[in-house]
Amino acid sequence: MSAGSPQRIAVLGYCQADGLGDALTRICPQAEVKAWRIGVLDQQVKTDIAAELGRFDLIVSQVKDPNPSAILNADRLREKHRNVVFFPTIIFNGFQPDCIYLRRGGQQVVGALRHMHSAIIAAAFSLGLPQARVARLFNAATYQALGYFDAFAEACDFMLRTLSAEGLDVAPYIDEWRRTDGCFMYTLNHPHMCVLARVAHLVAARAGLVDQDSAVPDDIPDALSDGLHWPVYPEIARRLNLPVGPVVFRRPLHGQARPEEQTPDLPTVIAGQYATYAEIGRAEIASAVPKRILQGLEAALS
Amino acid sequence: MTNPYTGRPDTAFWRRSMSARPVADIDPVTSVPFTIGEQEPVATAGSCFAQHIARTLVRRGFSYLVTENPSSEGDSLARGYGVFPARFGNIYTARQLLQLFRRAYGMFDPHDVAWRRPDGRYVDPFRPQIEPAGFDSAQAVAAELEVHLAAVREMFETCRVFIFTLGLTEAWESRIDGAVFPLAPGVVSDSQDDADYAFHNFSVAEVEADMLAFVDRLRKVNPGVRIILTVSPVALMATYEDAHVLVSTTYSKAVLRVAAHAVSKLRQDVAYFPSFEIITGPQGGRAMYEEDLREVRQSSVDHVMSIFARHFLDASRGGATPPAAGPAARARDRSVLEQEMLEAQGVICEEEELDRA
Repeated sequence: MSAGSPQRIAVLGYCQADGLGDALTRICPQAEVKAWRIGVLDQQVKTDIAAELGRFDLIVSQVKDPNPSAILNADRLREKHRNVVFFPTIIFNGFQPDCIYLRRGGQQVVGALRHMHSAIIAAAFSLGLPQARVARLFNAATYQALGYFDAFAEACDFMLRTLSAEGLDVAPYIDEWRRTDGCFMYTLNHPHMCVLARVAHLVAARAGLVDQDSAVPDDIPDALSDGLHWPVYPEIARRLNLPVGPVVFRRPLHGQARPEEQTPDLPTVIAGQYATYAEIGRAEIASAVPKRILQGLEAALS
Repeated sequence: MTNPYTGRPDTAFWRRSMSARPVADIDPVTSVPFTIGEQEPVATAGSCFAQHIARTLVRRGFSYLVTENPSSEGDSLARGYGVFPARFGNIYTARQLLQLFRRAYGMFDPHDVAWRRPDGRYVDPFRPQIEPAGFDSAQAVAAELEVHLAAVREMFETCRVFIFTLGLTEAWESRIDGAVFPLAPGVVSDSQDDADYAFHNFSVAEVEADMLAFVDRLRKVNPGVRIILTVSPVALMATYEDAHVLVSTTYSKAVLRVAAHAVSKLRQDVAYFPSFEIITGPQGGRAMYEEDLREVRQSSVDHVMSIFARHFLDASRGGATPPAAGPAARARDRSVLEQEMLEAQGVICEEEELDRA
């Protein structure tokens, strides 16, 4: 594929697919780009997408289904298509190490912040701590005990390793993202557009669609910015030389929250999570909380 | 075997370093593991004597950290603002210090939240004198506590040097959860159940363990902090042991002194400063004390602090070492703090309440 030929690019992924599609559209203005977020699609739709992929010159996929024979799995697509680029969903919890998913019986627990949960609140509930005590646990000693201060370095390492395994080297750009955006993640798996745009540019350059030294647009609309914003806790922000602000969450703009409920503070989130967990039960929540968090908090409290 | 003392410095010999020297020239500090730069935020805590260290740092232009400030001007000093970095009042025992840390970080949630005074007002059991007028309600005490503990956390996390003066081994603790108070409940309140509280006189092992636990925990939130330990030369106001107060004082100071030594040997960058020896050594005699043989004369304090400054304060270091954390850390305006300090007529000391008995 050369820069002069017509290009049709398919993007398959989850929550990052639309952003990657938007980025590729701007980076390769001559190309036709179509993005699918396949996470919530039923099997028939996935089958239809698979059938449509034959008309694309390049397939960019983040799909890694636990079932290797799943129809849109990158490995399976490679059997049929010549030009498939896979890289995993970008996960980076260095800024918000407390932000986790909770799974119960294979299903995600939906609570005050929809699918995202504070590990500290979930662990505190699991340990039977009264709700009134939980806000005080949001401090440097707890973060240290839970390894949150090491999370940034670990997250950098994880992101670099998982992307470089697919031939994408973002090591030179982490400092740039910190410089332009500060905290460059909204949640652990919602990157700012600067991250998606850079990865899209690397993919496009590797496919020969753009010169690798060409500029990456910095004005691409950032669809993920409408989603949940998880705060960088002050003690962590200080260590990362980021602006220090209050612990206020921002619910997704496309959700059902009333304006006064759009930006809950920590006590509100604690109350919401506790109410959700009370309906489920301590044992089940405890089994869903990562053991390192549960044991770390228990040790810190002893 | 050759004489192992040959070649040892003069300070190793009593005759050369004590007997033959004027009192003013006796300096028992032989070396220090670190110095304090002018711009480095310093926090102090401990018994009454710790307040003298705070004032010296301010007077000499060093950066004394204050993280809890009044919302309005007025009788802020009487209300415990600026006496220490945060309004925790005097901390007499190692256990009290460790528990302050654990309370600040949500690791310990004591049963005792507020005590009612005989006049119907409420006090914080862990700092009963920070509001002389008391609080309206137990809820008001609890509400104020959140602000206070946030300031305590900020102090622990932003100081570069933490100076703690060990004061007592005798304490009163809760039978319910082991909470240790600066004063016996009955000294402050007449509404607490006697059965819920017990007297405890800490051992060397307990003080050492508590101090080590504190140092280790502090370093987890502030890895670079340096620590100076001192032992207060101020005698017990009263003892609850069946012993003469002089005997109890000697036990208490001996325990604290041994524990301070052990901690300074077991942990890096923990220094021991011998204010206790400077005041209580035979070179000073009773001239170091006021007529009551308990309060340390201001001239004695000045002498102690001049030795402290000689060894630990290094203005030339300036801001060579940046504070541990960013914008939240703030050293209060020195002139304001100094003025407030100078206005202090005396050291605020919960222990003095015992004399009302």
